[in-house]
Amino acid sequence: MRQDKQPFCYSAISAAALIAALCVASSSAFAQGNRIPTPKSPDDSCTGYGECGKAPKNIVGGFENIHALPPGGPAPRMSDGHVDLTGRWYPDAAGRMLQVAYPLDPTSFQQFDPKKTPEAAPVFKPGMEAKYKRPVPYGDCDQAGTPSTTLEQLSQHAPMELIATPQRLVMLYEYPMDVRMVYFNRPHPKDPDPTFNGDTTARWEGDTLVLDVIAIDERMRNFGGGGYGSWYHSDQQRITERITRTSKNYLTYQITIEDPVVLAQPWKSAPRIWTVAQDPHDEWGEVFCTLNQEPEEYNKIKAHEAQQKGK
Amino acid sequence: MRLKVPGILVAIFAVLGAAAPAFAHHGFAVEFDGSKCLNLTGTLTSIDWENPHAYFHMDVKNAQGKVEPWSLEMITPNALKRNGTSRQDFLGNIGKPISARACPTKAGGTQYRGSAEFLELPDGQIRIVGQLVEKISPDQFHF
Repeated sequence: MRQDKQPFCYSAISAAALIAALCVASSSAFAQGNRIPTPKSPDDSCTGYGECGKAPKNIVGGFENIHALPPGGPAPRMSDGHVDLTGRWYPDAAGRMLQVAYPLDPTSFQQFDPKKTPEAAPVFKPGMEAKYKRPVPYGDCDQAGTPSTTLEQLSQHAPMELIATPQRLVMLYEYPMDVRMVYFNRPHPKDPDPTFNGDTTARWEGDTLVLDVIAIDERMRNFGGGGYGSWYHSDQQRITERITRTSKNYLTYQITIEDPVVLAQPWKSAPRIWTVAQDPHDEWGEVFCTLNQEPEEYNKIKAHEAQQKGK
Repeated sequence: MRLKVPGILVAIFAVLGAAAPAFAHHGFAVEFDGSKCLNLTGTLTSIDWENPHAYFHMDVKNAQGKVEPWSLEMITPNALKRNGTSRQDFLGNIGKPISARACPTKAGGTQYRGSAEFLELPDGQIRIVGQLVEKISPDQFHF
């Protein structure tokens, strides 16, 4: 268990640049929970950039075909009668990867409508924000753990693949590349080992699978594209994940974070939608974030800026 | 292919790209200058098909006749593939002329390094390969 609660992001440049030098608050422009590029809302007139419904000519990507999927019929069921969560799920309404896709239909890019189901900032207990809130270090692409791996797909646009049987749920994430093995009918051990993804139990409440997660390694931050930055947690943190397949094409995933040491009240995500991959030729991809030049570039630029300021 | 904008003459399409959203692991505006995006025309020399970013490299002859070796960042290969651009699309065009719209690093960053927005390979198709920092309307995707 990590003993040192000091932030990782110390800079050799200057104390004044401490916060800015190596640390950038994640998702600063995602206050409304939208994807990038930020498409116009359905209320805006469709002119100029992302001219709704008009794809650039001669462009690869099939962007003119992007649209919010219909429900597609009832959710399939497993042999035990529960909904089958199996599928490759994309964090949008279009059933495909939308990273740098040309924005035509704004609604298809969203996991939720922030006007209808806004996500509030976390409310910290007195003194806890200063102690636990820390931005994600610049260029960090390490494992994100539970629940951030799921929450941050709002900006990462990567798929999550679920393989469900009556005995277990296998959760695969493409970025950061990760595996969670969830066994049904298995209670928490008395003193579970802390892990990045935590110790998970599962139970069905009707058609909703409820995951209860404890013992998440305290090196994991909580963040996820809502514009509220990131924070560390105590060993008393408990995550509740509620997953249901509302139709053939749609999954709803809602996450609650409780931490009686750090938070004054539970933090709740909006129910975020995911849609099943539509391309029958779509394949799972490997993403090991190993060749990352950003921290080096960042340090060069910041050193240059500090040098200019010193003149 | 005859290009409408020669060399690296700057062609300002749309101004004032939106504040670049930050990925969990990095932000465009931290490394790159979205106000200095430019067209690059030159020869594709190589690619790095890797994570978290794929890169392509091109030799660009500047106005003084000097060859500038540019390295341009793209998105993850998985996203490129799913958007219809494969590694073979690049490998089959090594040594051939291409054009790219890219935004260079901020002052202090590595010279001739940038983030590519879109490019055109010899097949004449436009491919979005990075974040569209400039608000480019549909009729402006050309060189």
